[in-house]
Amino acid sequence: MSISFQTKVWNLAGEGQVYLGAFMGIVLGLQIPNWPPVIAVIAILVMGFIVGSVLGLLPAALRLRWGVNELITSYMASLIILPVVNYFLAGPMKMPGAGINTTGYVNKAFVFPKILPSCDLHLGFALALVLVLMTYYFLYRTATGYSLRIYGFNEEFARYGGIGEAKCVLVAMIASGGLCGLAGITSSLGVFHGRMVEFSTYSMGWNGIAVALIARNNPFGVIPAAFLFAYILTGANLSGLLADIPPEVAQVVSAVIYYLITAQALWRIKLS
Amino acid sequence: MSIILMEGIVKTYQPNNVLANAGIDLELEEGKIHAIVGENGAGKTTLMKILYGEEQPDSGRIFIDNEKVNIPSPLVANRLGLGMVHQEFQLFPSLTTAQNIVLGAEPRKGGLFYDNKKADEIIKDISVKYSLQIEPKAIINRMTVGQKQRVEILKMLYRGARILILDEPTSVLVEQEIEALFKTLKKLADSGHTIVFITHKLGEVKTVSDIVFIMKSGRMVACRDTESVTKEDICSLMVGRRSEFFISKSPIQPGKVVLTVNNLRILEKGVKQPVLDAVTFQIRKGEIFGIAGVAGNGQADLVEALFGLRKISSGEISISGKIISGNNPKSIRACGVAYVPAERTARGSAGQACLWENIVVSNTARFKKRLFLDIPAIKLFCDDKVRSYAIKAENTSMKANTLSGGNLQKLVLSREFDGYPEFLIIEEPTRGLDVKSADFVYDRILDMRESGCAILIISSDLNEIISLSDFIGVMYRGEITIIFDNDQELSSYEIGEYMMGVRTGKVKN
Repeated sequence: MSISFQTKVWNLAGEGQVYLGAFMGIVLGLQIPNWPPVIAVIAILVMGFIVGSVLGLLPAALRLRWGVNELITSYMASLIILPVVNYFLAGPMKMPGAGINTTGYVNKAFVFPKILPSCDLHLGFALALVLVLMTYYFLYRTATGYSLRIYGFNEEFARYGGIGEAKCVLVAMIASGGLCGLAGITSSLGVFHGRMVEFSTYSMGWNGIAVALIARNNPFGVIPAAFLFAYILTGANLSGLLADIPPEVAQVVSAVIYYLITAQALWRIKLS
Repeated sequence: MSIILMEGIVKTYQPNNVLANAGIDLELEEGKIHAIVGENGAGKTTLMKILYGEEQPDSGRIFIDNEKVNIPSPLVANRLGLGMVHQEFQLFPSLTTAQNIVLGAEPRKGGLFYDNKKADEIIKDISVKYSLQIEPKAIINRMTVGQKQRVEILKMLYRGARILILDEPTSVLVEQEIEALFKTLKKLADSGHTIVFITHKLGEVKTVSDIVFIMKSGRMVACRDTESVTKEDICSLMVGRRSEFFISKSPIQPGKVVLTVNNLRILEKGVKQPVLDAVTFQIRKGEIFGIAGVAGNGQADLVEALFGLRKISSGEISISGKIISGNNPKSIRACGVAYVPAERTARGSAGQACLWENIVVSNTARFKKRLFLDIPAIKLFCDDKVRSYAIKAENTSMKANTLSGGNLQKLVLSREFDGYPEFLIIEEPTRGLDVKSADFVYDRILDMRESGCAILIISSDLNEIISLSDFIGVMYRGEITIIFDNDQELSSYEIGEYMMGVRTGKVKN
């Protein structure tokens, strides 16, 4: 999200990319139960990245070819993909005999080990930290990252300076979509013990946008922003459970916080 | 009888201390049509904005009906009987004519609710009264430009304007609409309204105005009865004498041809008048070719076409024999073309990016180590440019939008002049710069010429063109109507006549 927002190419397909990434990764995992675990996990992660980026490519291509606003196309792409995945979860890919719509489990050896016992913190967290570092280096140290940021600062200046629009839009959408897909499959391999459950990653994509905006699109800022956001969310759930507060109130409170923070961030970066 | 008197109006614009109005006196007579003419940047619009309360003068006094007035805002101006029609119309596109006109002084039902019926009636009445036909229920965004302008004029009349100010009212209109507008203006003047309009077109001055004011670089140089002057007189007053500031240039040694533009044409969908038409010229090594012309006659489009920022319809552009038309800016840059744009902030730089990020944009290939940028090397390079161009900057990591106009222009020049390009396009090299920065820019441009660069300069400042160029082309309505050899006998008066389209000639080169 930070990548696409810094380029001012708006990827709103995060929700669908996360969901599709999780689903396709698990589907691949189910096909290759006998592969050596390390290679299999890498293959699954790559799959998550690829399907996420493909879903990002579609709006990017539409924008470049016909100038369609990617804000709308990416949002719609996301809307379309959710029920499609749900169909497969409820139908062809459903684990026989399960009470909920879910796929079967992949080989236990593929599941991310937990870092802290008794909670959901898993190896994916370390992976996320590495990705933050890589994103930072990509945006601030590489020539391509530089092009992306300049394009985000001033499109006209980038064009005049000889930076290709196509390259910027494509790279931003591929990277952003791919990372979303990766987030999805990571959560399936970590939190959900190697299966894809219907609605399991719901609103992760939207939360990703909120986090990126709170962090003002700085990759390092994403870490504290994500924690802040997670505290609010978890706190809302807990207070619902423990303090006799109806879940709706908790949702309203977190929505107000979310709303105020994003509204301010949007105001600062001026939605083009 | 004089209805308005402006005395000693002075206005400077920050942050560059641009003197837009340098002590201007203006007297308007009741029931007359006044035209204000002058080159771009002569201060016409500023003066009118001051009269309408949109800008506050640094000093000077304004009298209406011999009474001294303060005009702190357009609202007050309205109350004093002034109305202004801007170049960009200020209408709500999705509302009806009537709703737009009564906005701010709506007829009400029971003191609270908007009275649609009454509004429509009022509009019908005033449109009959001033014989400006308009349908009260028509939606603005379905109207032609001419109709919208009529709505604007009615809006001002509805608010009780006795004095109408129009900023380049004809620039957006087609021929028949212009005629209709002039009829309206004459009728309004006959019924006692006072009219002032700004224009570039001398023909209009002669047809419609009673009195003509001529402005030049922030000063009022003449006020005449229109009948007593010819178009040629006005023209020579506008552009003035040959420039006094003279830049010493060495005589040119004509080298090989660098830029060839052949029969370049740009057509726009649905517009009959081509944006560029049959533009043909050459620039040789070590030669400065200046293009003069009133803004909007195709100069900006020509530059964009040359640099690959705009598609051409037909024709050919080549650099040292290599065809570049149809290429993108990146590959055109790779052919040794550099470009200093007029819009330094919108096109020439990214304000939120820091200096080194701005200076390396066209040069990333040189500082690439595999995938990564060699940032220390870029900063060193940037430091070097900051020093050799005397850019006032604390360090290379500060944001570009903290630089002043002059320093930002130096930053752009240092980037574009780096590596001695074969062909250099410079738009408005010194617009908005103080004298010292401007001198620096001129020196650098002449350095580039000495080093054998072919240079194209486009400027709305005719003196600048005459002082710098070896050859001067004049653009008028998308065509280069004449190319002059810039020798001592060439007068700015003569160029001015071509700029205004008073004369056209065959291209000679």
